[in-house]
Amino acid sequence: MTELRNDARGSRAFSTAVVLLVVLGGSALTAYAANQGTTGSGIMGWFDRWRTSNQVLPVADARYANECGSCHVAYPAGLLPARSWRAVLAKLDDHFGDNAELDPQAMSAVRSYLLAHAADRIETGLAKRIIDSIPSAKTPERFTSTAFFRERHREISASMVAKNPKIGSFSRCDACHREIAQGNFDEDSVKIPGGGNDG
Amino acid sequence: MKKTLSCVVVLLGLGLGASAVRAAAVDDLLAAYTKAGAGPFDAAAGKKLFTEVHKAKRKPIERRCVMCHTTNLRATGKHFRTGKRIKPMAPSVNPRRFTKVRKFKKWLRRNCKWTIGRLCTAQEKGDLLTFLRAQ
Repeated sequence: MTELRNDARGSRAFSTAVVLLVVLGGSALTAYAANQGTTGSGIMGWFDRWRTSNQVLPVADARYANECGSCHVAYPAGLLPARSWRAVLAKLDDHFGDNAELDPQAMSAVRSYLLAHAADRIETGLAKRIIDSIPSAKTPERFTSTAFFRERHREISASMVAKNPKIGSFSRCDACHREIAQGNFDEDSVKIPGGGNDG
Repeated sequence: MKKTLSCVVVLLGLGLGASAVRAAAVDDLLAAYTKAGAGPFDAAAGKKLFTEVHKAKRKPIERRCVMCHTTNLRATGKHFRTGKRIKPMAPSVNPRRFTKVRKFKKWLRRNCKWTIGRLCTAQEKGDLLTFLRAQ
């Protein structure tokens, strides 16, 4: 009887130690990887890719954020390949039904930003998986039309988003992805307004 | 005491300076429209243009400036499609409104084309600005 209790105590102590090790090790790795930047090889490279797997480069260009973000969330360039951005920019006078014309100066700034940071210019994080989901003959103009987007949102019904009066459209990423400004699309940062989850 | 007084004077000067800059953008625009052969400008005509329905061939078939800017120009507007908030149009509550010539031109070009279906004439732009600046 005493032996049994001791055994139970022992295994409890063991699992506590394992949990502690994982937590401490994990945070040490995270801190180390954060210090190392985004590229690396070997175990750190693998860990880094895992850590950034739900991230894109945050929008860092004030001109782009200002010009495009005045009507909708400034979509991170890494959500679509360069050919998609070219197609979108070619018809800003009919931008999904709105006029979003830019003067030549603003256009050139926006174009350079988008093309330099497009998903096919980036090797890490979400960008690579987005690119892998788009057939090379296709040029999607909406991120929401990509297979990657649909797959990732398969459990999210229209009533939760498109028919949710607080959101209205899947294009409004920032309505639920509260850390989009930091480039974070991790599920933990999602809060669906007016239901869907405990947000 | 003297220091406080000079502070007040400086602040007052800055305030006056800022409002002069604000008015300057509007005056520059109106002067340009006049130079283009338009004027005198009429706030009532501007109001009509801003509130009336313009027909379009594509949805939404009925378009109005107030769809997004709201009929209460002192209130925050909302883009009818994206839901993005639009700061009040009235300079009396949003003093930064109409202070940048470039911004005014950019949005008027886009919004005339989308809402009315064509570029606005110099007369229409002057009328609109005359109406809006007084809000």
